[in-house]
Amino acid sequence: MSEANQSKPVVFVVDDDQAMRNSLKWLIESVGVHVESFSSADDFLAQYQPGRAGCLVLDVRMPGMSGLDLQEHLANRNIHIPVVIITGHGDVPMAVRAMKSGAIDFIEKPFNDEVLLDAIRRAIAHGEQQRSHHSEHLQIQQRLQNLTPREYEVMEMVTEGKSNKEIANALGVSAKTIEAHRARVMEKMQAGSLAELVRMVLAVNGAD
Amino acid sequence: MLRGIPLPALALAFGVLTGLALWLVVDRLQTRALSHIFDQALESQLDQQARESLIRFDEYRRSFAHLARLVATHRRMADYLDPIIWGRRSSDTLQYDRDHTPPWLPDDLTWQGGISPAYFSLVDPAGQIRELYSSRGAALPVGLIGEVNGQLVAANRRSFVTLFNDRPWLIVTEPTEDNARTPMGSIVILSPIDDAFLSASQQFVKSSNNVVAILDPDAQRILASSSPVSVVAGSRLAALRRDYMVTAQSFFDYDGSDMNLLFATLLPRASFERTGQQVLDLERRQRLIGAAVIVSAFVLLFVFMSSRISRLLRRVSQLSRRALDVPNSGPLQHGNQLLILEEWIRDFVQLVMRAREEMRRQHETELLETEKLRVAIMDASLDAIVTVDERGGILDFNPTAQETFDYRHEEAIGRSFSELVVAPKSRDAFERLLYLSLAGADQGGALQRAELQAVARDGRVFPVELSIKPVFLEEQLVFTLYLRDIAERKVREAEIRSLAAFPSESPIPVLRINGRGVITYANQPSAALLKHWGCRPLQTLPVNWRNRVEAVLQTGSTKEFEVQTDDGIYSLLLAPVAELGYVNVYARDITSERLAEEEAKRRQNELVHVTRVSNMGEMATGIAHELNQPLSAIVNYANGCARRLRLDIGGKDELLEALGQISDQAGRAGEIIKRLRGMVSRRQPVRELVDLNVLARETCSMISHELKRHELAIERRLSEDELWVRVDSVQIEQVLINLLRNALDAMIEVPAAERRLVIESGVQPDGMVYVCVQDNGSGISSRNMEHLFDAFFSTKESGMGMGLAISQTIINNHHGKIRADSWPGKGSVFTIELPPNIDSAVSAAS
Repeated sequence: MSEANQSKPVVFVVDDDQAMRNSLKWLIESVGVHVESFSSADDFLAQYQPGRAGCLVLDVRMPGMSGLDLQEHLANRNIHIPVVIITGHGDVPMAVRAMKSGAIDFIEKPFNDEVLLDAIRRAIAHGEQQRSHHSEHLQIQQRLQNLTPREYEVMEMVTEGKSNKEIANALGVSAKTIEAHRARVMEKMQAGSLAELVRMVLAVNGAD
Repeated sequence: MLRGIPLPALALAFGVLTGLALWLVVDRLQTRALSHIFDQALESQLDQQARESLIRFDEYRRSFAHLARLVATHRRMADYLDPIIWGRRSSDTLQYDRDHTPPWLPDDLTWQGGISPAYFSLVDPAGQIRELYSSRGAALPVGLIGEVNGQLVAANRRSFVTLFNDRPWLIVTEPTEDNARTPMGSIVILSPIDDAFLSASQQFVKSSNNVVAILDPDAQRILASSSPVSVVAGSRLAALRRDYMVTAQSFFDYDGSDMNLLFATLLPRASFERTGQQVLDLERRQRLIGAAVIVSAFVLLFVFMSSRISRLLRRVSQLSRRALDVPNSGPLQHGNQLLILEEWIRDFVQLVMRAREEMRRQHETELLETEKLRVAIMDASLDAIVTVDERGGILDFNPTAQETFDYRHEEAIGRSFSELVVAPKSRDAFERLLYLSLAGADQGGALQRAELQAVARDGRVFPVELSIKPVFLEEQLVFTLYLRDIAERKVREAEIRSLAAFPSESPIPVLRINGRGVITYANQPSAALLKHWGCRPLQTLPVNWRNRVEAVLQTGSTKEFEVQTDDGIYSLLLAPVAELGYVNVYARDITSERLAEEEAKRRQNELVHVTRVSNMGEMATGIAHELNQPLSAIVNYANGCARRLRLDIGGKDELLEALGQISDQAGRAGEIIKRLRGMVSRRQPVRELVDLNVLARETCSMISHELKRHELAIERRLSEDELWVRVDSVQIEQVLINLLRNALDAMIEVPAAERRLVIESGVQPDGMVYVCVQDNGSGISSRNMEHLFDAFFSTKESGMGMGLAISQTIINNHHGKIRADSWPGKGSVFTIELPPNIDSAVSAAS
């Protein structure tokens, strides 16, 4: 898949009803968003590559794997794609379950086109944000991996708010040595300030 | 075999054979007896002769002793033996011979009596032989003297026989004296006992046949014999016994001799046997003559007898020919007359016996058959047969009579017929009938018949038909009465009469139609049918009914038809009476039944409808969802179009296609609504030609929403061929929906991923078209299986219990079947079978 496609968001429509599928595609494409449609969850899973930008529009009730099942399945596989759920008739427990699993919206058929398109837009935006977060995380993690065990130790203590002296005492080395480790950590982590380093570590640990 | 030989010849043969046998036996016996007699005579003669021979021999021997004494005591001897002269003589033996006789021997020694000793010797007292005289000139065998001396010294014997060189010698010795009586030795005479000696000893016997011999018993050999020609010395005794009778005797008066010698007398056998043979020959000749005479007399006697028997036979055969008409006895003249006679007598007796037996059997069979016939007729007769004598007393009472009147045979015999069984009021008539029968019989007239009242044992009076036949036996007159109980017949006649009135009294139409379709009978209630057919009795039925009547007659089995007249609906039962060639028609007014049925059907339809509608209620959300689909699609398309138009994007073709989609979806929504209306609307059941697969597919889509709710898809295994059936589609769909929903309910407990629902269709081996719904749900317990199709039976909390009952009603109305198979815990299969519409299948295919 080309880099252009990779960056351009796609709406994945999964619905077992062909008419519904085609009409959704027709409607969503009217706002210039690319649509790929699938007749079942399995179909989708077979073709979807994680990390692609866009969102998922799911019919709740489908033979085989239902919409909610698919949602859970993706979450379990750590695939974070925003989901918009469409249902024939909303029932509250199902909506709650969908939202808890991280659905962006829960729309009842027949729906106002604005409502759907709006939800899709939000979903795509959410996805973008998530994706950027995700790439930052990756970078931080990569940097963390470049640290030596000693540097990692020092970094942990630094982020815990310990002074150089304290750290030197704890590790049984001179404060000067700690000073040098710290400078290397800052450099490796590309952190401009201590606050930035702390934010990075928190972001990574919080995400984990 | 003997039969072919004439009697005289037989007698001759018999006589000759018997004579021969007798002759042989007598001959043998006589020969033996004769030889025995001869032997005895011979033996005694032999003994006698032997004794005599021995005596003679002995005397001869003694004469030697006498001679010795004579010589010894002679004066010459005494003179010669002068002791001075003789005593001094040298020891050489003086030899004398024939020419030189010794001086001591008397000159005139007579040799009369044949006594001529071979040697004389003088022996001195020392035992030395001084002088020897050999009368025959032969030298004394060497050694003999020594032997003799030994003997003489050993025993003082005067005379003895000794054996020297296998030859017997007689030695005689006598002492000698001189004149002074002084013993001067002795004189010894030695003589060989040879043939000459022996013959000399027997010289006075005339019979020359006898031979005497000296026998050595140890060697069983002859040492010397009187006849050396016939009995050679040295020959063995066993060889001699063939030709001679031998008697051996020991010598007497030889005591002291150690010589074991016997004196044998031999008599030649030949002479005796010749004599015996001569006697026997004579005897035989005489016997032969006697036998011939007896046999001849015997044969003559038989010739005479056989001629007499032959004559007798001829007469007897003539008799048998005439008396018994037996053509045998052809070869009577030849052969053994006695045997033939015996045979003939045997045959004759048999013939007579057989003839007698035959006659007796014939007679008996005739009697028996007549009796059997009579008894059979009497026993088997359906009529009561009674024989009475001229006074009316019962003689015989057959089983039917016993049964009819309930009297046993022995009870009836001897009673008066009239009093026993004729009702009092009919007795006169009976007497008259008897009389009339007699009169009629005189004229050779017919049987007299009449109807009378009879009375049984229990007093029941009933009509009988009676006919009388008088029978004139040799000694008496009897009547045979034939009676028939006609009570039943009368009842039957009455019954038939009343039966004939039966159909006419029937309130339902009854008709009879013959093979050509002509109405031969129709009762009053048939009017409506006749009016419908437009015909009257004795007219022909309309053509379609005529055909039906014909068909029923041909098949021979009853058939039912329905006919709707202005007055109502009738069911006509056509019952063929094949042997008479007509059909009885029994009609039944079934108007009210039909009305009731229709009412029931209408109610059922209503029920079906109500159930359906209630189902619809349950399905409402599903239906709503289904409607939602096309509606949502329409909205999406429409909005999509509007946006494109607003933004002026999208090509015209694109928009047109979207509009087309809108139209399609609207159509789809319309379809759903139409079907919904079909399900809900109350209407008459119809029959239309549909493909069962299409129905199955439509049904699946109808409940697709519910399927989604249960998160499963139906596995469709529908047949590739079209399954044409003539059904009410809505009702069949109703059944299928019901089955599918039941299946879904049954699978609630099963995890969604494992749920499996299959709908299958096809053709069964028996030709029925089927569709079945299979689930892997909880299944049905065998207890519930029994009530599965009962109304108001439900295992669900919300169920009305009408689903399967209604389904069964619907399928039954379609002449199909619905059945359930279930494996508790594993699932169930519900199968609907429907009759295929073959014609339409063909037409649809073409």
